[in-house]
Amino acid sequence: MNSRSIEILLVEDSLGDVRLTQEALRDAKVQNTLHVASDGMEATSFLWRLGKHANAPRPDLILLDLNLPKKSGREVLEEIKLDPSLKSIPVVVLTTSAAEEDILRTYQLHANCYITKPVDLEQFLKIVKAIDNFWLAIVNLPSAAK
Amino acid sequence: MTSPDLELVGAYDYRLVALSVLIAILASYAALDLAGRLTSAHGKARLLWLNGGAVAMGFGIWSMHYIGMLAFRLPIPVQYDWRTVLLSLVAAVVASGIALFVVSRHKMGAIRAVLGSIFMGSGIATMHYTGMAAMRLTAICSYSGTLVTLSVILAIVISFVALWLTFYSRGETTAWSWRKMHSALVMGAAIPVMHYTGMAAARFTASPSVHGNRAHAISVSSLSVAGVTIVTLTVLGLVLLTSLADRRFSLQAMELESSRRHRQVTEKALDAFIEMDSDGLITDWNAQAESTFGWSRSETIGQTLSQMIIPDRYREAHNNGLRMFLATGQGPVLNKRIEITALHRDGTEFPIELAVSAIRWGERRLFSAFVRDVTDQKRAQQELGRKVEELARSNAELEQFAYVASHDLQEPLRMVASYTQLLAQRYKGKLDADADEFIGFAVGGATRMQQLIQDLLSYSRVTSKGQSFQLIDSKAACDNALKNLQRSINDSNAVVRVGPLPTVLADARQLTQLFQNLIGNAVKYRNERTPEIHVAAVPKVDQWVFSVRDNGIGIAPQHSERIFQMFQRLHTTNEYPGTGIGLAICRKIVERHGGNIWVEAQPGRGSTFVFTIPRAERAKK
Repeated sequence: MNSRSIEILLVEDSLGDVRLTQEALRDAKVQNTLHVASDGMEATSFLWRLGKHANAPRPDLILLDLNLPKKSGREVLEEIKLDPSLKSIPVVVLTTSAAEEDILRTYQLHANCYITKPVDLEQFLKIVKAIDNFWLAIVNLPSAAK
Repeated sequence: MTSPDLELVGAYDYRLVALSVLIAILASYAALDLAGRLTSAHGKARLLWLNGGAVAMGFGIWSMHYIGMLAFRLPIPVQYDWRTVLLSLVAAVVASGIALFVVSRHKMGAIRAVLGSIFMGSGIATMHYTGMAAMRLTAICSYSGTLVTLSVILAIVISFVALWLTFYSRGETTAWSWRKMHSALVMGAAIPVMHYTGMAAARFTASPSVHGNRAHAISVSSLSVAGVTIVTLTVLGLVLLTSLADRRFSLQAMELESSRRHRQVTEKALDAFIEMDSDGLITDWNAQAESTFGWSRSETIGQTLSQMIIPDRYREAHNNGLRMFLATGQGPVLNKRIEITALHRDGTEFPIELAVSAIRWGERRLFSAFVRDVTDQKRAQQELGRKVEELARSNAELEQFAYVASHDLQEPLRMVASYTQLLAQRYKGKLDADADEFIGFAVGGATRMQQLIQDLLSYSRVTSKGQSFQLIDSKAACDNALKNLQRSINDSNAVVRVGPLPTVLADARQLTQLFQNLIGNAVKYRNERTPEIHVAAVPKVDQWVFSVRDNGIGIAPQHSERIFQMFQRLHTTNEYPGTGIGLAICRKIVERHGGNIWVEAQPGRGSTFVFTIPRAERAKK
């Protein structure tokens, strides 16, 4: 299975962060494909293969920002965790907020982990690499359910 | 033992003895009464009372004495030398004068009382024996030394008792009192005792050869006894009547004066004074009421109060209130300060504060009120309220602004910082030296700005994200702070000693941050010596005084205020890193807890940061 490219869905409205994430994942250990949804609506279309996303792959990992236009990351998270076919996908919440209530609520919605975006570039790169390392290389993920 | 002389045995006429005792009592009562008048009189009136009183009282005592002498009957005719008799009267008057003078003073100490009674007693004794010496008879009068001495001592003792009784009954303001009567009875009964002891001291021996000087001698008839008695009683009666009249008169004068004085007090009062009868008609209206409401006294007296000063819409309520009070005695607005709207003559309405009390004057019920125009206070109060509201709003806005700004500023700033850093990483050394330098400044500026925004955010979080206060162990908060500072403490080999710390009502996280900032500073601003830091707390009346003392570089006194301001620093970032937010946050935390923070320091001699937190047991009340 290792030969298969890992599908990652990044739900992020900031182009800067998208690019930084791409930069960080560019030399990741595991081969991956990064899909980007720039708001909550697009994320759900991608996940439930609606409209132009009819042929979208089922992601192995979701990187989710909380503050999104149209539909918030919390709503997206809630919907994912309510869907039996999607809830096994690990969701890493990656956001600027360090507020305790955000952290608590996110875990209550069954996020797999919560990470505050570091302000410093080095830190950011390190964290994306750690995500890559932990979720894509260390953890055994369930095989894609059809 | 044969002697041609024959001792004469006297006998008493008891009717006259009784009369003498009665006169003594009456004279005593007059004396007590006079002392009271004398005490309350001033100036000329006092002199008049003293002289008149001395004459009347002296006359009374003398008269008692003389009737007592006349009651003593000898078997031979007795005549009296009138000049000597007159002299004895003078002695009685002088003794009375001294007595009245002594008892009418404001104070009577023991020495004064003793001296007074010696003078008075001697005066009475002088009167007595002078009176005896006035006797002209064909007999030799000899005295028993013992009894004479006894009579003089009795005179002094009786005088002392008399002075004492008089002094303490003079305050009686009524003309008649049982107390005064009792004192009069004691005194009146005691004076004859002295007299008759004196009489008993005398021994008369018949000696026809003795005639004495009879040039001015007269014999005393029953008629003269009656005369003396009547004159005495008249004089004493007159004194008592005068005293009674004077008392009445002066009481009335006092009442009149007091009512005039009260009139002046209400007239000059800074508050408007209004009085109203049970029909709602105005019965009094002072000068301030004239200026407060615009109506003059003559225009308002007799008018209906509610028509004059109560706005239309409240008149019904006012009249109902009055009716209810008259019917039930219930007056919810009485005897307290209330605030209502009043009507001025010019039709404008204004707020007043008033206190109404109901009084009963004979059959009439009256309502009096002190009224104060509170327009200015009201306006000031409203102004203050508005200011407070405004301040609270602008404060909240500022908090919100700081939070939102720092939060939302973070995103774009993170972009700037991240990409300048990425630029630096990828292209360092690939462009020219200028480009490297410029990128370096951009990275440095962005990083620094990030730090400032972080600080601003944590500063605004002190109030916006503060937790509610709980009873917590400040020792635990301090230990947490030390744990967080573990690395820098180890690196600097700092020695931190923590004394016993109390339980306080506080936000645990903020208290930890407070300790962390202060101890962190103490470690950071060290000199070449090993840092020694001492944390302690002492209780004061209603607060705990915490201190964090170090042996570091210290602070010049002129900077002791500046260091608590946001982003104010005394050193460059190269000397000591930091943005200058730590102490500002400390101050905000302490102030949020209701305390104060300050520094006691000298350059080179270490600093002690002191902060206070209200004591939990007091704060809870």
